[in-house]
Amino acid sequence: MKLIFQKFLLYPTAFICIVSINFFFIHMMPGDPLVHLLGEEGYYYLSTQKPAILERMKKEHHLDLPVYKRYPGYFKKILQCDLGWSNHYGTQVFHVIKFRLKRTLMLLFPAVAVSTLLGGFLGALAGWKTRGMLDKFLTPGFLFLYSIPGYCLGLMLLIFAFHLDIFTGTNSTGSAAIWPMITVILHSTAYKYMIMRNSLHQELHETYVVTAFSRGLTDRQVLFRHVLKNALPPYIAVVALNLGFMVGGTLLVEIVFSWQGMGTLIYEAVFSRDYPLLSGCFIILSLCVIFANAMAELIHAYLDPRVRKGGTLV
Amino acid sequence: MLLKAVKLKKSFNSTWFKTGETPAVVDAGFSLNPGETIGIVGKSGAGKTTLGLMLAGVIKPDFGQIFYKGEDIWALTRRKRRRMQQHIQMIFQHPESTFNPKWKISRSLMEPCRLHKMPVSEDTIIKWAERVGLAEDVLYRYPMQLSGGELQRIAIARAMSISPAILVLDEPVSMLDTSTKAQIIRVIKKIQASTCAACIFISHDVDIARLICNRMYKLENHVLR
Amino acid sequence: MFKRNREIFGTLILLFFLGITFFGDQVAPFDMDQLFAPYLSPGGRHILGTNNIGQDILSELINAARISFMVGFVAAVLATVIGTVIGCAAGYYRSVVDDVLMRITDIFLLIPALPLIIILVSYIGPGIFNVIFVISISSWPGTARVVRANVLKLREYPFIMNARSLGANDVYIMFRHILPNTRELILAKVTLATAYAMLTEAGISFIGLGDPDHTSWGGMLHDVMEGAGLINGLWWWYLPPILCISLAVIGFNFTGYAFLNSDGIKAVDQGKKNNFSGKNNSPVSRDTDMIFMAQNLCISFKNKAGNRVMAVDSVDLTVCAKDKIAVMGETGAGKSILLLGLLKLLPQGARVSGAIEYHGRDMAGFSDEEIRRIRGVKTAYVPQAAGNGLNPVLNIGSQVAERQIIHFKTDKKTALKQAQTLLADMGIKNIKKRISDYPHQFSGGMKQRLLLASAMLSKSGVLLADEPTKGLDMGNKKAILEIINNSSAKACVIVTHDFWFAKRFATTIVVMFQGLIVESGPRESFFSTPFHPFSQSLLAALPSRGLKVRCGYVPGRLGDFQTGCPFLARCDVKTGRCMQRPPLFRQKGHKVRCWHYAS
Repeated sequence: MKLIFQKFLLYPTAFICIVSINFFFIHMMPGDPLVHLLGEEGYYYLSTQKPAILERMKKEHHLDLPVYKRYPGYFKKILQCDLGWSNHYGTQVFHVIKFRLKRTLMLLFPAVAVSTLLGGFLGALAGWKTRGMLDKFLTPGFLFLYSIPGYCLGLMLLIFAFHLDIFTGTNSTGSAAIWPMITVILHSTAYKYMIMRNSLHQELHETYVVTAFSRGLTDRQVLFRHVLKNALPPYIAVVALNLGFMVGGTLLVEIVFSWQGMGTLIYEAVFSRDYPLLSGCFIILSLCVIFANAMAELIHAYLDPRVRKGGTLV
Repeated sequence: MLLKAVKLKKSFNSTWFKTGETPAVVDAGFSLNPGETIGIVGKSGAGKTTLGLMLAGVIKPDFGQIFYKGEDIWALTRRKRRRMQQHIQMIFQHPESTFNPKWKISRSLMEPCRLHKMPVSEDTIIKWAERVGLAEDVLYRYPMQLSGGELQRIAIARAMSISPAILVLDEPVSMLDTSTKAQIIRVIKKIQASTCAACIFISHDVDIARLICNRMYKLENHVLR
Repeated sequence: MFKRNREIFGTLILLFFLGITFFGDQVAPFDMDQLFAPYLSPGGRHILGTNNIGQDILSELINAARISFMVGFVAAVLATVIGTVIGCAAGYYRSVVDDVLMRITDIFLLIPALPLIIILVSYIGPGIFNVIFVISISSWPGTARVVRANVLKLREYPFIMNARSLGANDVYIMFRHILPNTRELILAKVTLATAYAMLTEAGISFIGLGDPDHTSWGGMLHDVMEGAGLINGLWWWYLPPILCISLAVIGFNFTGYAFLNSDGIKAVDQGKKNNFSGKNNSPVSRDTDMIFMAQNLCISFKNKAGNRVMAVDSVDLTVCAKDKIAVMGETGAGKSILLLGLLKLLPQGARVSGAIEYHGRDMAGFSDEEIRRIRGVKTAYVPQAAGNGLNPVLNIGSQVAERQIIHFKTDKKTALKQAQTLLADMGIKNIKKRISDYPHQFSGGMKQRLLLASAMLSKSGVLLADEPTKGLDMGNKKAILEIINNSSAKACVIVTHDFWFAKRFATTIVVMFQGLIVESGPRESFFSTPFHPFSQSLLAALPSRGLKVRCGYVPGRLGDFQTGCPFLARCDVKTGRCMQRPPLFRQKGHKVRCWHYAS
């Protein structure tokens, strides 16, 4: 239990760190913090048109106080979901993100689920019989898919679909989602396949496999009752760690397919120098990843009795 | 009196904010005279290895003192302790990992002398190897190419290369099979007879310990009797 | 072989790109400042055409390679240095240092890298060195973790302890002992991190945060998106950078895994030459109640150097009802393999010749189903308890009861109840509570009992056990002996090193040496008058008999005695005849493989 408790202290700490990084960039980087708080467009607009409001904003953000005294106020605002005002969109950052996040999660959720199951399943089968037919065909293919960056794969798929005239276009959300989703699934399945294959292959050298066979179990019984149960916890751990990278990959794929999610949002924010929007995106995405990791940790603890029952895992 | 241990204690705690201390050795004290062999026997998990490491000066006891020729070794300055450490050498249980796998045997054999700035040459190490019954060609191989018995012989040669006054043997034969066991014990006895070093023989096998030790201590429930 | 090819392929790709990086100026057909008509198709002077502002794409590609590689490599080296320093410090000093550093690492691992990099670059501005800095900041934690794990493992090794007992200081230990043994890991990490850094750099350049003055492959793709190259189908513009990125990443990945797989030192062949000439003439008695019979059984493996090594060499072994056989011998004599061979449980890559009969029928003709029945119902195999003999993630109840549930279709509750009774009989206290515990909560002696229980629950006729008393103290040994003696098994074959145990359990002793059976005989006469010199030396070396060394160790290599007696080099009574391999001779109820007993 203690181990789990310790682990869970980590997640709030990570969140505090992320907020602190943001704070650091806004308030400690050279230049007027207001530029970072309003974005370049907003700052320019206000400073030329309405300097009075700019002065008021300074007060509002306590910029007259020393740096360390601004921190509690900033943190409180974040906790209240006040991520600032996006001048580019002319609305609260949180509102923009709320809508876009939904679209990104629409891509990510099925992708994570499908790739975890499919990659795990195929990887297990290939790892069980390395040098079998399945392994021979799948491994080089997935190795190649894994080495192409996700967005490059997206680009190639896009062109491929365009030329074959099967591109579904962007008429409805459903049909627009297909291609980016295929891209993300293909790419992350490849990664998870490699992980599961290697992890299972290593398990096969353990003595308990011989024990299981010596009890007269069939191949399938040994695989599903014994080996897979050992290979799953580390697999889940790796999948969880991979979530952060998957988010990053998905953002780029979104840009390729002009899918209106967080990726394109960040793209636009970068171009319009909309800093509040950028840091808002960062905080929200990090929060999602931290949350997903916490979930994975729970699943891991449930699957591995050595963690659950307080073993000596390092 | 060569070595004297007084009320040694050592415990390991799992985290740095001191929760769940597990004692390794609670109370250990004994004395050792020049040239004699004493045995420390006990079940697995009784803290024998920890005690051995403390005696060899590798880890510091939480409480208690170790006196070498009347000097408390942990009260010495760092430099003096380094010089002192060449007088106490240790041989470990697992022969296959007592040598740096990236080094040839000859380099490992020369390490003690190099560290203590003593003159050493190829010829001398060949002589050492012959003393423990090995041919010259093992010196130019890597540890993973040798058998457990061969490695344990080299470990003995290495420990004796700086002519220590005390040899701490931590289960030197428990990982070897019966006939090799006997050979290694022979080698140890032979070398001990020719150099007059005192031995501390740590083992879980009472039979072997009885054969080669003058006196025996028993480590039970973390207490040495 | 597939793996080797991969490594060579990876290295070739890397060499190709490195060549381009270093000799880019000579190879590139045009200077980047030269502008031509935009959007030219490939052909003529421009092999890959021109881009939207009229630069030659091939030249741009070559120049971009330099940028991509530079960023990737420098960032990877930086990240690996940071990671190695932190990993070493945490692993070597442990306690507070370790805890603090590892928590920081964990937190860094949690933050999604790409968004962090994007936000960092957009605050501190694009520029090649900013990009390098930011990538290395975000990619060190993985390295730190792996290095720490390795250092943590290494620092407990006796060779480190030995160096410390010699009075070596931390710097010496770190640079002479720990880092050389982490070298392959660090090299692998640098190559893999380079792949990662190149990917990341391409990603951020792709969204337009790259250095505008130094276009990389990712930057080219960005230009494609901006310059509408995609919609107009200008494949010569976007395909080359995609291919280059992918190939480079594949190259780095393959090379990186090659480093991970290398052992650093080439294993030298310690094996014997393969030789099947050892034909055995000794007659095999055909008992009616015989259960297992191995005839001229040979099992060989390929060692690391690719040579075949005989683990079990022309073994004839008959197991009849009421037989209690102890198989003894040195480590590596092929005893465990023989047991596994009887049940056809050998690992992949084993080559078997000879025959095994089960109740008079050749096992080669058995279907999978029949073999499973023999394994599960007719025999009970007990593996070594050291390591993971029991599945670490299943509770012990379900493992002990598994045989019953699978083969006898007993329902789970009854099977568990049977397991409970058996375990209670074996002296496991508080069994009702402990039945749902996991293996790591039991001590070595307990684990051994659990394994025995899981094999014996079905009351099989034959018990095959591999070193059931290894690493146990006297109390536990006695308990195990009692369990085995009280078992219902009609016949037992037990591999053991332990004379104490063999003396009290066996009716027949079989001694193996280098895969061959060198002597077999009834217990009483074996312990009083062993015949083979090897058996004699084994017994003489017992502490209770004064640790005598009869047939000693011979300096130099074993092996290469394939044509002669396997024990030749260590034998103290050898004669000229020993240059030929001896068959088994009968001598006063024993079978002995030694020329001295030729009648």
